[in-house]
Amino acid sequence: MRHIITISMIAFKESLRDRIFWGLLIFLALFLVFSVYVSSLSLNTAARFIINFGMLGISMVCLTVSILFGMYSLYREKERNELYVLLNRIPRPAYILGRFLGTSYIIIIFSFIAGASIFFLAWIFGQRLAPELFWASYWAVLEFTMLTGIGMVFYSMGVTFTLNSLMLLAVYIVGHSMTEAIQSFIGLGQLGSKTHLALVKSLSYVLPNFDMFDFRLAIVHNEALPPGQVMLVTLYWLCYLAALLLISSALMKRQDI
Amino acid sequence: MLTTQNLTKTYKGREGSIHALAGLNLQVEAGEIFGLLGPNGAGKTTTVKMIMGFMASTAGEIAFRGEKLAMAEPRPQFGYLPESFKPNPNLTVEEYLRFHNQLACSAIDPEKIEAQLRLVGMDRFRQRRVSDLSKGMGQRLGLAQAFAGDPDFLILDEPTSGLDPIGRSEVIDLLLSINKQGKTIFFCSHILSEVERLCDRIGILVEGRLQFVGQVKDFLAKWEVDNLDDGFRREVKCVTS
Repeated sequence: MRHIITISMIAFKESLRDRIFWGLLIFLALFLVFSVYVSSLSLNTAARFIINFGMLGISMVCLTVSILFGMYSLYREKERNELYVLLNRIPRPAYILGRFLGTSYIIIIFSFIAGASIFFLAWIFGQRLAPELFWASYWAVLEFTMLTGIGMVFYSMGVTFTLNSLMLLAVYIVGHSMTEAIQSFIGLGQLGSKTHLALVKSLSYVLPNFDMFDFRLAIVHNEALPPGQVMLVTLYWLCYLAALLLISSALMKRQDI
Repeated sequence: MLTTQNLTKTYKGREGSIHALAGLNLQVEAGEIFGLLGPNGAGKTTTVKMIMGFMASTAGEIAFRGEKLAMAEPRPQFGYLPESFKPNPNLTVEEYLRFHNQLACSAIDPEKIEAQLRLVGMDRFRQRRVSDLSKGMGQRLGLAQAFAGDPDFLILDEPTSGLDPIGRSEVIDLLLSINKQGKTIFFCSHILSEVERLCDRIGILVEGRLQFVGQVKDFLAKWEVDNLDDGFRREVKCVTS
């Protein structure tokens, strides 16, 4: 545990000192300013515009954090041969978990800074108090930590940074089309054989389903989320993430580096 | 102290198997400086990576103080400096050493960090960002981190690569002084002048096979030459032709 915390804290410190961190903060600020400007063009729906745009901003920034801080820093460490020095001192699973935690801290910081900023902007410019925005930050943390976990699996498989980033983008897109895909596949399955249906259903459990974390519409329209669903989605995240980190650690232990 | 028995590494390529290392038998004694020499692609880094547990061997065993070492396990008993090493540029020199000492020991001892900084002559630069260090200073910092946890066996892969002659000479002096403090040093190099100056014993690896192991003077006598450079060239030519 000591090793995991040490690695995560150093990864966090390293990220805070990286120019990319401040670049992303500036990008987020500009994005939110833009959302306020666009909202001023709308008729009586300023708050909705700010919230909708703001949540898009959270997703874009957190996706960049997952790829740049989560993945690129891992590959950079390998390029500098620093990885060898670290793995001389700590077990490989501790390294994977530490790095994952370090990236998660950055995702948490960005999503909650963004959530709070959108809250105040919607309040000032749209006259709407929207505490449910903190839920949006929470869902973003779950979604992008899971995406980072998937990136860790690809890293442990030994794929290059470019391929890893492309695969992460693909997984992100596929993960957001999952509900629709499952529904149409199941529809097809019912028309076809039972084996086909079973295969599609089991695949849907294995592939990541990011639609589970997408409550954007509910938040924009100020609808309450059923507590049961919140619990279920959190449990899904927990189980999926645990599986990803276990797989990643096991692959890393077997790999020649 | 460190022994390898029949250490073998075979890669499966498209054109069949490639033998990176074929049955390496080596013994490094406590307190000595052992240099593993070889041309590029001879298997030096593969040997080091297998000793460090970064790479699985196809066959053979590695033992340290009589205990067999397992693959993919950390080796805190060794201080390690990899080839072309670049320390984390976002930390200061002191933060960097604190980090490695924290990983190596459960509690940080500021005096030990101070001693490591002094040993490599970097105590004046403790607050400097690693990104602002020269290549030579970066290499010295790399050596300093190898002392975290106070190991008495150092494994250094090309410790002077990329350094200018002054930087190279400083690192060699440093290694000699460390050895005088009782540390065992196992290092890889293809810079023969430094090997001649540093090593008690050498091993010559060509095309994955150990061609010679012993003292430098015995190697010179084997080829009836008066410098390591000529002997090394003859050895390599003899194997490859």
